[in-house]
Amino acid sequence: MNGRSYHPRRRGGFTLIEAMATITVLSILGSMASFLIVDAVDGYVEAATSSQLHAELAIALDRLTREMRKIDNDETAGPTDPDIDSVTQAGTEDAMTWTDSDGDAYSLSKTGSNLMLAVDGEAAAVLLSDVTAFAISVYNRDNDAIVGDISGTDCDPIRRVLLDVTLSRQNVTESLRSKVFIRSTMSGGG
Amino acid sequence: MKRLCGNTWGRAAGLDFGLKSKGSLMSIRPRPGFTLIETIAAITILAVVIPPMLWAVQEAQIQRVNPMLASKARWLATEKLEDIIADRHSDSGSRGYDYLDVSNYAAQNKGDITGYEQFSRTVTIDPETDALFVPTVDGGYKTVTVSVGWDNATGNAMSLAISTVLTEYTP
Repeated sequence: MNGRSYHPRRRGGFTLIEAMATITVLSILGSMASFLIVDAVDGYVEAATSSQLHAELAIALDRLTREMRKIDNDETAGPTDPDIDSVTQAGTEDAMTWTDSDGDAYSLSKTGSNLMLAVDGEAAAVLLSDVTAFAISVYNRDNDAIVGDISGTDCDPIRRVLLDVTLSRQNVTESLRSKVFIRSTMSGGG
Repeated sequence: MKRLCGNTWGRAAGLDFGLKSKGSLMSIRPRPGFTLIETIAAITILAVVIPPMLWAVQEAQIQRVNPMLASKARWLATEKLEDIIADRHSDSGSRGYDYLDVSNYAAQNKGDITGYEQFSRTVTIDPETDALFVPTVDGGYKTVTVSVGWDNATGNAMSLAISTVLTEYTP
């Protein structure tokens, strides 16, 4: 008989009990750590989406604010009345049309989940996507709200426009609003 | 020669070697695995070191909203300033330059601004004593400042102010 084949070699690894104990401890620690990792990743995704939505809102509202500041006078109505053609105040699907100082016609509306802006007869371009609410409020010279859907001469008293947009993406919701004083309705010096 | 028990924890390789006159090299080699003690020590170190790292990552994410809060504060300040400019240039008989008084712009505390409850907003209006130009008819001007306050993600009080000048002069 070859003694070496029965030679009791030292074990190279763990016993089953040791291995099971290790796995148990690791799995408890791992499950605790995984909550932290999932929380951290969720937090990262939420913060990233939030900033992205805010940036998109800020860029779009910056542009709309500038466009609306150059709304023309409505010469036929009065020297301080704006050339706004219609305002739809439906709550979350609002719309507005106007003409600027270059004579270009603008149309701003929410179509599906997109906020669309059409300029001077061009095809409407997507200004914002994932829009869940778009509200326009208009105010007269005494800062009183003018409610309801208005068009034509009913738009003449408008002096200020408030835009309020809400975006929602990946369960993250962000809103931003901007108020615009229409400069062409200015009375008095500055 | 009969080998000593091969199942002793922590048995030194040197002792093993000394007691054996012959035998396979495999049998005198130190065990290639970790001991339980080493494994537990490693797990303990990892358990102590990794959570603070994850918390640090999470904290960084929480603070990532701070620039966004500052940006929102800027929009809120601009919104109020736009209203004040509109009041100055309103063709309403009850508004205009004389309407620019702090009593017409009540301070808004946290919770007062719908949709932006974590922000407060105050307006200060300073009538400047020096005339803007000579002759001094309608030569006055007022410095209007809108301040917005909020708490950032770590609870520190932040504030932001935007100012402009509005003049009395009417052509």
